[in-house]
Amino acid sequence: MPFLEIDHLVKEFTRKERVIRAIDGIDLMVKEGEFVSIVGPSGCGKTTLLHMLAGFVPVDQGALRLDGKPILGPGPDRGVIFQEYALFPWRTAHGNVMWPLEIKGVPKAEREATADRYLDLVHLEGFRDHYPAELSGGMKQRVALARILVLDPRILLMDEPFGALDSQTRELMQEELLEIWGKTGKTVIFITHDIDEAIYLSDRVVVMTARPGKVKEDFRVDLPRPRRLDIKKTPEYAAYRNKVWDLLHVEVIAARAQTPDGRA
Amino acid sequence: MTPFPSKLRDFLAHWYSVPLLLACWEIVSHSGWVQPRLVPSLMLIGQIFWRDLLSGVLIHHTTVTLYRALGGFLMAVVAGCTLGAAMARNRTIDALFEPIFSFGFPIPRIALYPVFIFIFGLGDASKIALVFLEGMFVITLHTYQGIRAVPNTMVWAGSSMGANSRQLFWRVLLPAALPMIFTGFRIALPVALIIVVSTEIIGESVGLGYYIQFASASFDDAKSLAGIAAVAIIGFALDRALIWLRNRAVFWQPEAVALG
Repeated sequence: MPFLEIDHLVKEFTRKERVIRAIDGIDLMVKEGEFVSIVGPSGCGKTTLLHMLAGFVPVDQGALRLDGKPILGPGPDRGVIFQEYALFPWRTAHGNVMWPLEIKGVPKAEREATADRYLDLVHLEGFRDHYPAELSGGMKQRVALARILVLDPRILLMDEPFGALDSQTRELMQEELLEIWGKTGKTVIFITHDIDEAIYLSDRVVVMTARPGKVKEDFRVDLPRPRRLDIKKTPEYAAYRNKVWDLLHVEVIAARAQTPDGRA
Repeated sequence: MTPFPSKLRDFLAHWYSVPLLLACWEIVSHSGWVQPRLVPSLMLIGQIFWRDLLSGVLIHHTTVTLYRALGGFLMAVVAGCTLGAAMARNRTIDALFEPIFSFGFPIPRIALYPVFIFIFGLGDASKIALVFLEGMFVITLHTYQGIRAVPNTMVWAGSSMGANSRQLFWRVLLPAALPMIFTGFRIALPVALIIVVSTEIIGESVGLGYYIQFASASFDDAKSLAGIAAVAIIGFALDRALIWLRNRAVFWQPEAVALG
């Protein structure tokens, strides 16, 4: 049985009294522990797909199942990471990581210790008492990561998590994410428009079409693990990169001709 | 070597316009260009201020004015925050009150004062009611906007970490809206003072507005200005107190205030 099941998913929006089909029948099966990236041109519905998996946006047609159970709303079994971090600015790094444990009703001493342990995991032990405003973008995203890992979710849903970071920080964060993924063995759905990021991180890359979003291609990335950043210099990596580039380029051109309200 | 302590320099750089204005006043007062009674010297104003402060007259009027202003303001805080939050959270309540607020906002509330006198009489109640009404408009709208402006992702993050709607309100929406809510307070508080003093000028036998009005009617402009100075000092002190409170409540986002 697949761990995550996306079963003929359809999503439509109404804009200015026009019905726009954002997602047009996506089928996808993800195994437990798999790292799957979803790439596609902007407006292809990849973020909408993630929001539906998180339970923020209702499903129009089709079904989503996690471990056999239908996804009907938000829940702590799915940890969501946003591009804009969504940290609570009135709480320190440590306070942010403790937040979900307070909601869960974990005793104080235990949640303090657990939060410390997860700050160690993301290498932020030295920034425990810093507020989000005092942290860099990369550090903020690490706090956000610790904040969801503390609940031990079944799956991580990441929506362009490194999209707001500069390219050096971005590569370091990718390396760190792989390290954490290696330690925790979580299933990851990773939305990005960055081809390199998708190939470097993933077991599988799913390329989506321009709107209405469908799966255009779904293939495995058979690069050895653990991966280091210098894998990007190998010809195998370059071959994957060219393949995704070719697939995506056509869709980016198609997406460019679309207007946000659905007129062609 | 620092020839000039930087704290003192900053202080002067920020505040020099106040003594400059007072100096201009004093020059005009002594110049003979205008009647000294219309522009009395600061010395005279200061003497009267000091005399009435020591005799307890100013304190008495100030206490009454403060009671009315703060009473109405605090009621507006409670009602405005509650109503604003309820409107932001509940569609039915929003639909019920939004038209009233949109329609009522441009009406000068002071125009209702004669009606309020009719209902509540000339004393405290009519003034407190007017302060309450004025403050409630501002605070409700700021609370409403503050909560509505909380980014979706922050609320989603909270709900995906298992928070129920009550937890989302108290632990996400309210703290996130707090800077905006305090902006509402900061607008409403000086307005409360303005309304009380204005209505006391219209018709009253106690309060700083009455003190100013009575002095003015007695052609004692210096005393009238001493009363205005008292209002200015109180207004300034109240605003500073509110900033102090705000910077403790919204500690993660300090508001820059020079030498507060």
